[in-house]
Amino acid sequence: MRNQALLFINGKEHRVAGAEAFDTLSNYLRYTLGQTGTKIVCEEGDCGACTVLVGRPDSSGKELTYRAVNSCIQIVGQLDGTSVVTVEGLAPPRELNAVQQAMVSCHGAQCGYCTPGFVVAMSALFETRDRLSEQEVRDGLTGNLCRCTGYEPIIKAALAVDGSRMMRARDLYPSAPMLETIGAHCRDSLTIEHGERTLSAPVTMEQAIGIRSERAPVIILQGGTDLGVQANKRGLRPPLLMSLNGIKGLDEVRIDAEMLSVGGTATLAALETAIRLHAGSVFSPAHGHLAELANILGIFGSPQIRNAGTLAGNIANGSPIADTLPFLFVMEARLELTGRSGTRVVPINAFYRGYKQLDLEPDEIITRILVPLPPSGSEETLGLYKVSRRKDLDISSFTAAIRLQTTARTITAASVALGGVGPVVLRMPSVEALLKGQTITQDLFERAGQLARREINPISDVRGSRDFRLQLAENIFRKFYYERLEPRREMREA
Amino acid sequence: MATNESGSVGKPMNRVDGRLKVTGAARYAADWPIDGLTYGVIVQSTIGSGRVASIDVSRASKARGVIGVLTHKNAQKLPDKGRAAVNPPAGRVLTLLQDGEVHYNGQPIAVVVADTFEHATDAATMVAVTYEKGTLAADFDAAFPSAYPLPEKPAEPGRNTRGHYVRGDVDAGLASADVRIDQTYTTPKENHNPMEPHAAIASWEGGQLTVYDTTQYVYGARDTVAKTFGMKPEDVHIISPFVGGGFGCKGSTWSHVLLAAMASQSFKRPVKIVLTRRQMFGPVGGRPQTHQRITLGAKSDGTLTAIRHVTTSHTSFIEDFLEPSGIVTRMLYAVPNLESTHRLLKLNVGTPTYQRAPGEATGTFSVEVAMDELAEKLHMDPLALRLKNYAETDPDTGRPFSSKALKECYRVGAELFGWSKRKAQAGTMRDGKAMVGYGLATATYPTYRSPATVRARMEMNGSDVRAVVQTASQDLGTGTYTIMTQIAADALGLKPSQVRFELGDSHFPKSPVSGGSMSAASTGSAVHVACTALRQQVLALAANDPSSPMHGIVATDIGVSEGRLITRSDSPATETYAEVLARQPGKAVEATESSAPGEETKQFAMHAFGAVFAEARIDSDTRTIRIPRLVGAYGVGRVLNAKLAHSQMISGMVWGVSQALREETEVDPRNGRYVNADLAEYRVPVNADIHDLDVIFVDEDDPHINPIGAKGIGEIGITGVAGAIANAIYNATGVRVRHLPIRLDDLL
Repeated sequence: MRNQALLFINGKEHRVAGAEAFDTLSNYLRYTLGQTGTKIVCEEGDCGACTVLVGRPDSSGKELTYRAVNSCIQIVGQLDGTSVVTVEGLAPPRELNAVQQAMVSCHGAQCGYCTPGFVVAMSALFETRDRLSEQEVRDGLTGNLCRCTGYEPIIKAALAVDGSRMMRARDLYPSAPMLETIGAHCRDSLTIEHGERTLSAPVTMEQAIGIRSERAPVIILQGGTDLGVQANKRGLRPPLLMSLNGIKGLDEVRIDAEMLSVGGTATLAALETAIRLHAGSVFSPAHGHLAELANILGIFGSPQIRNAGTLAGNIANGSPIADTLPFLFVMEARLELTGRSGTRVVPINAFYRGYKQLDLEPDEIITRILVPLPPSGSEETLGLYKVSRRKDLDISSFTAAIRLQTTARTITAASVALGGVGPVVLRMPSVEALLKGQTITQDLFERAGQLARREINPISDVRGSRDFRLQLAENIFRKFYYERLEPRREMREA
Repeated sequence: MATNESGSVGKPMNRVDGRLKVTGAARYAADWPIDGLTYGVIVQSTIGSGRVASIDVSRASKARGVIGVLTHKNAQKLPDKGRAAVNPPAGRVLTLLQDGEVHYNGQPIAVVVADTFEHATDAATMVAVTYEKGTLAADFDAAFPSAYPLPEKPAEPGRNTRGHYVRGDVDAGLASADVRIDQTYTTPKENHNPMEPHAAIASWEGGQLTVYDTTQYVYGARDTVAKTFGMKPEDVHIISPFVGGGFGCKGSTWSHVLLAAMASQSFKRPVKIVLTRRQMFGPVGGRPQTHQRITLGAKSDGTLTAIRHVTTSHTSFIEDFLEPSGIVTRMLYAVPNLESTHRLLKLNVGTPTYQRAPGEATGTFSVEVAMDELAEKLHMDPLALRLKNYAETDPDTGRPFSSKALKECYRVGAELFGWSKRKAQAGTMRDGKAMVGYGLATATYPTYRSPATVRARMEMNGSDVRAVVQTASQDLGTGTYTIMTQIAADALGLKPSQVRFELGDSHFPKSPVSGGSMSAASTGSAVHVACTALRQQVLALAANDPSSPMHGIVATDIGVSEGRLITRSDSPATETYAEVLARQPGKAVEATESSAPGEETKQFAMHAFGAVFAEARIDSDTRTIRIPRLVGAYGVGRVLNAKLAHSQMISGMVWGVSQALREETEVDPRNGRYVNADLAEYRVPVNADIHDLDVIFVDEDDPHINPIGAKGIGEIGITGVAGAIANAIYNATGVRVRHLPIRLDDLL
């Protein structure tokens, strides 16, 4: 058992115990280490000014892979066994890396306060790539806000970078010696105590369940993308925290012909990557469904959020506007829950009992999410929708998933789930019944929309009015019909 | 102003501070390492109106690491209850723990100081407060009947700031009109949300106070702090070399700066206070909500006969602050009969303040939408309507414009945008499932200038020379460091790399507030004259020195290029600045000069103009609004640095998009709480919101405006954009939205 977290910061080893382990990484960098290049702007993962690179061992265990993460919502203790690179460490002393050089020559910095975050996020994009398209740059930088430039000079800077001529983090800080130190130090589970607070990082599932059973309620701190926000904004300080990062193999994402299987600590970014790398016939319905999921993941939060946040976390958080839930609902996903008395599997459609009320015992952990995929040759259509005021980096006003199984133009089965229209994501059995057995026509989907509108009872809040949500629930069926089912399909709107 | 072909001004030179910014080495207010630094956290009121009945700090005082807690019970009594410095824009009426009154939800009521930020944050939650609640006014509409006319103050010289203004006979003008528009337009509360939170570190040494601040007005901060404490201004030292964006909210010195100084004095330690994002909603100002009723009358050929523009905006119970939305109306179009008046109403919110193009940003929205409505009613093209009422001289003052290239802006902008493809009938342009519309609006912002003083010194730097040019100006990201370096380099005949320009320190000579888009014109003119004087001094040294090859040549006949002196005659005599200085060991060559506006402000009306064209696309099912294209053509006088100018304009236009579609500060009318006080729910644009933005500068040579020929560009970019977008959305959908921001919900 250890009581010190180990992490490298710009190649230098740090062992952190006690109070500092509970500091956010951004505060630790600025206040304890005096490294003030990392800026704190929103303190809730919305602006990316505090972005740092976090390197974790890749699947081979031989190299560190660096990804951009918001340091304001990560506590130091949860970064046990990682290598952190900040804006100060992107290049050798007195040098600029290619990204920094491009940001200077393209005037990517105005007031300069968002700049360190942009520089780090952009450098992360070039960790694995030499050149980026404009779309890749734009997608890669959705997690960074700038109030001065209007973004254009920043995008131009990224397009000007040639990553092949750049010293990357993995080149600047050789992985092997750090991995050796990490391997030796992090073999045992970690327990850091400070006052009434405890952070545990077990290395086996048995330990994890033991900790969760012993002293409830132990909050699982995985990505920190919600807990970190609650801590900064509402002063939430849960006394007992547990990180599952030390448990090997729990982050696995597997896709085969029948099943998408996502481990309990797999990040949304890892899921996105696995889908994009997955080989398979582009004409198979499974492929189409996964591509649809990848599109929704592409506008989930931001790269920094997806690099930290997990699918299990999105499920356990249980928000009625969680972006992944409508998909999981219509795909009849199942959750593997592991606890003291073993493992049980629960259909996601039965998992939510009310607003943020879950069918999850205090000792249980979501260890795997299983999504059955449609067999090849089956005829299926899936549409996933997220409506928000701002396209990227926004909390949804409304989400929807519509899945049809068809033979010729007849619907043999329909699944519909709507989010943001009630305290939980809702399946729409009456609408599903209306659609089942019918021939696809525009009129059918007009009627389905009208029925959906009658079936829900949304509230008005800052993200959208009741009327707007009612109208969306109706219109989404028309949109689905036009985009996916109309015989002469028009070009999809961006 | 003297220019030469090899000069730096006008060239797209890289930012001189770029390297510091991309490496994280630029030091902002919260970044300074100070020995013995302690951390202050502000405790805020949780009611909107009333007074603190009791405040119990016993638990907080005993908490780990706590050094002290300042409340209205133990805070030092300041001269005039803390109001000795009131003198906007810098000095505002502040709540400085002088009494227990509560005027808004989130007002500072205590400061907890501890050895670490975490300890101060923890202890701040332990301060126990009870209140006597007063009557709350937090709902703009409910308070509307209480609106009162703005107390008349004399207009500031050169600025039309009168609240009440009439020319001609508006009723008669409206009566003679063939067509009338009478509509109300509203704009929301907004908050600046610069990326850098407000922050201050205060440290006393004897009777001297040093404040590391983030401010748009170094001298304003110095004088405000000094007067508030009853000190001599020289005893206050403000240091602010980098400012992480301001947009107006850092133009005034707000309570946290003085609270840091008070806490530092009380607890005899340096104290740092950094506001959280949430704390930036309330205590540091924001754009006030406006209600604007506009009445237009026109002949059937489009000739305007009258405009009436009545603006009501909110202020706080602490201080009157006006959003002067109606001022722009007075000079925008040639209309003989015009009335533009302003009223205020009081709400229990933090005092609002100047936000990027205060007045023009909100005024150009309402007037330009009203003009669009008029054009439709007249069956006229909106551009033709504006040309029909084009003002060749300033309709407000009757003076000629120092320059006005607006007609050219309309022409060039319309051509680039493809305005001629617009269909007049709303809701008739389609592209697949998208409803498409085009809209336009006029942009304008006045050109201001204030006196500024600059000290310039030439010295040896190894074997070369270097000019050190200093003034207490500010760089909010606008590029002051860079353009001043360029102006200095040109005036001195040096390369920019041979110039070190320094700002952000109250030990330097005075420069004005970086507000009103006037830093380039004000400080730039002073840099020019100071560096010209310095150059003449060095040239005179050469001319008067028998050992110089330039001896006997009249200084004005000597030119300088990259530090080398050459005669304008055929003489081959030459030497370098370095050689001149090397013969003067120990002798400082220094010039301090001031520059101020003169008679030209009485002879001319001075404004920048532009034309903004927007395309809107609305998804017919989800009503998602996209602005795929925005074209702005501007006449801004001389462009000092093409890269910086382009960035500034794009930035302003993005603010316009954001004003049109995103930004709104929401206050709960039941308790005065700021509902969306974070960057998750207060939406500023992300990169994907911004598509093609085109900025064109039309040629504009303005010999009258100021010595450097430049109009300000910090603010004009936001003006007109919201109007153009609202008009484009109407053209796309046929839904006329008269409030901001325009939401998906509005287009159902």
